[in-house]
Amino acid sequence: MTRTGLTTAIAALVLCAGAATASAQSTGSGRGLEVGVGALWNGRTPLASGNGTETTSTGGAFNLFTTSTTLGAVAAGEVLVGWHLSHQFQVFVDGSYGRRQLRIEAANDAESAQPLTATEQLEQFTITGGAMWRFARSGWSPFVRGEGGTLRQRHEDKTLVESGRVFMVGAGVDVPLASRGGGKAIGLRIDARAVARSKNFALNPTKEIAPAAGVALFIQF
Amino acid sequence: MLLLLTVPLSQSTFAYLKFGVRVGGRQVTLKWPQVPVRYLVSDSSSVPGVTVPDFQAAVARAFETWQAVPSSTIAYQFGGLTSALPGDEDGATTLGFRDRPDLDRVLASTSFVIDTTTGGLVEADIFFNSSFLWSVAQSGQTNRFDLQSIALHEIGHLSGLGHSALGETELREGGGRRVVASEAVMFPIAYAAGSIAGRTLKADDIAGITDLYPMSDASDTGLITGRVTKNGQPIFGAHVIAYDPSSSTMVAGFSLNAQGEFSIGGLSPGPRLLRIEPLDDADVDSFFSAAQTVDLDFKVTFSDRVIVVPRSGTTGAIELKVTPK
Repeated sequence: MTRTGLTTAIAALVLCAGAATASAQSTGSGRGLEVGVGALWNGRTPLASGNGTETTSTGGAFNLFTTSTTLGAVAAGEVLVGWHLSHQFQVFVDGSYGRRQLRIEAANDAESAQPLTATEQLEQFTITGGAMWRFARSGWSPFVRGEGGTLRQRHEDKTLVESGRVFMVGAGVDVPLASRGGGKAIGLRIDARAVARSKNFALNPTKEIAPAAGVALFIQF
Repeated sequence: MLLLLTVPLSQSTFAYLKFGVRVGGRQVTLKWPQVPVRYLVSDSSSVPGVTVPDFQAAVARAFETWQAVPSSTIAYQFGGLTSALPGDEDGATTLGFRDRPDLDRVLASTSFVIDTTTGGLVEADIFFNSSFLWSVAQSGQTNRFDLQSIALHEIGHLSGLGHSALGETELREGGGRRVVASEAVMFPIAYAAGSIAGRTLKADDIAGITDLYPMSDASDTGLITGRVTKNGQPIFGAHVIAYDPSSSTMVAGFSLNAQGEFSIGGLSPGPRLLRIEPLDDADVDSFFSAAQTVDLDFKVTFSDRVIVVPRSGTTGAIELKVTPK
């Protein structure tokens, strides 16, 4: 399936879920709405490591200076709205927003410029759709999740907005904090994810997969 | 009204710099009003080891290299051989050899005839100094200058580009400078005889020709603009390098007026690291007229802000501060 096809499928699933929710509240079959609010932590991400090089008369490289480019770690705010299709299966849409620092470290200048780290603030937005499977119907419940959607980056002073795709798979556990009856709960969700993004940004991670971790408070209706 | 200008490339001899002419009291960028640019090859003079067909083939490869830049509309057309010599003011763009032993550090030179009412180029001739030894060998030849490399530089001038300062040099004992390395075909000093490293355009050259003759779908390229100051005062002639960490390429420009303002165009959108340096790796008169005072008294400095090139727009005014040496 193409990435566009996958996104369409997830969107269709979410729409189907919306339709299912209407009957869920009357049947008590585990179906229902869920809202979660939390934080998504992304680690420091290496983007590029290169040199400002010039070409010698023999075609070799002369290093004018060296650089290392990274995105700083971020704890983004995250909101999830899900529809339980059963006690164990849920589809959801998820949005996150965070600010990260883009850092370019320059050093080893051939003309003795002082080493320096140039920075800018980058805003990151994600909107994804996905599905989650719980391994237990109640109590502490391990789960796996997968999602795909759009990643948007807005550079400082809104000089440039870049958009691409983002995909995440992960696993975690739901910890019930309080029961709301009828199998509904208020709980804490902790998960770890692997994040991949498309390569159409001006600067792309050096590694295909980046780790992320989420913690959220959720309430089921 | 026509005006004649000359730009030499010296042996040990204008980030990219565009030529400008004053038309009706305003500064106009020098360029061809229409393409393809038709050129002729002089068959009146040749040098040992380089026949007229060899010469024509070597310059054709150099023209093709510029023409192959996908983001630019520049194009050239070979119009045939001529008995005229480059430098003859005849309305025809002509390339060929001339024997100029008096110019003992000039490998080649480009002269222009300009319509001073429009700023458009009318004619641009390139002469290669037959007082030097030349080569058209595929892999180059020891102690001979590579004709294709030098033609590539001169055709940059012919197209309207000035010199780039993206290069490092060291002084020679006998006078002049030796190139340690450069990252622009338009660097004013040629590589040593025997080298063919100058046959490949660099990011700075490509940005320059794209800025002059942009392809319509290159319209999403952006511009970095700003000013360079020292102790709060604007400085003239500071060399500003924009480094692209995604491609490890560099494109550069100069602060070019009394306000210390610079502008670097033809850049793909994305973050850049800026490095500001004095113009100390080539003779200042390779870039600016003697009447202009270039400030060389400041330290090489990186900007502490990442500058982001917008899509088809300008960054707005950035102030780059440098300190005295």
